[in-house]
Amino acid sequence: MERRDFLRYTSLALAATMVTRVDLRAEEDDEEAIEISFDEAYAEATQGAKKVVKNAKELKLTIPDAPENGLVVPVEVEVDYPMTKEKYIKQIVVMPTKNKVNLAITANYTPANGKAYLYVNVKLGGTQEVVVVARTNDDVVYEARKKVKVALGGCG
Amino acid sequence: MKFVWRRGVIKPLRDDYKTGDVVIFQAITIHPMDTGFQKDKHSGQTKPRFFVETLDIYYNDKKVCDFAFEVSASPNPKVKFPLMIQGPGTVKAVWTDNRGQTFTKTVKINPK
Repeated sequence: MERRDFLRYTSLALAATMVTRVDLRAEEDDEEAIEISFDEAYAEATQGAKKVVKNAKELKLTIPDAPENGLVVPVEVEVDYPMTKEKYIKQIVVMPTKNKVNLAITANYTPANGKAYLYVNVKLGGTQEVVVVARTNDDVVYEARKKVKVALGGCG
Repeated sequence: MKFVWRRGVIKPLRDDYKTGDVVIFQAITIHPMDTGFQKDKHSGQTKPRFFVETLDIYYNDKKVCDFAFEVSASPNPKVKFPLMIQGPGTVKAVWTDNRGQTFTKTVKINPK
């Protein structure tokens, strides 16, 4: 191989690797961590609500008082509310309060569910309150919270 | 390490249901749910945010409910939700992650 050819090929190969490097970088930036503060999450969950009922009796939370591991904390919600075409729960939101990302799940329901119930596993980074919000189809929001003691955090 | 999405299940939690019953269903999939804050133990580099964004439930191809996850949901996200049995058919679960991959599982519904 001549020197000229060699230079040409290697420079092409170098250019190609540089282009792929840039692409990879761009993808990683897209997957950077995003923090969500509790106020932000709560404002979104109660946005446009006519009324916010705090410590609502309609919500029944089942969360262990002191789970062993914060990585998997079972959160169970049962809402005492009819599920008919006229009156139903359209959304349930589960929010930790002191994680870096204070939003775990948003569940959108329809009357076809027949009942308002949700079970989900949540990561908790330390001892904190867990807030659950349920919204009816005519925008009344029921809210309930429970303090959970976590000895071993689950947020790395 | 490349992640291959191949495990997940959707199933009713009891078998002796009739049309008109409300049955609790369980949907679970195997997924790491990386938050984007954690560092890799071996390389010391931050692991990119990689998580399941949505789970949509279809009953006979009609959307019944959907779930939007955030990174505060546990690894291998599991949800339980109720569903009114409207007759024979299939219930389909479609998971989508933030890289655009999807994963689908179905279960047959045969009311007694």
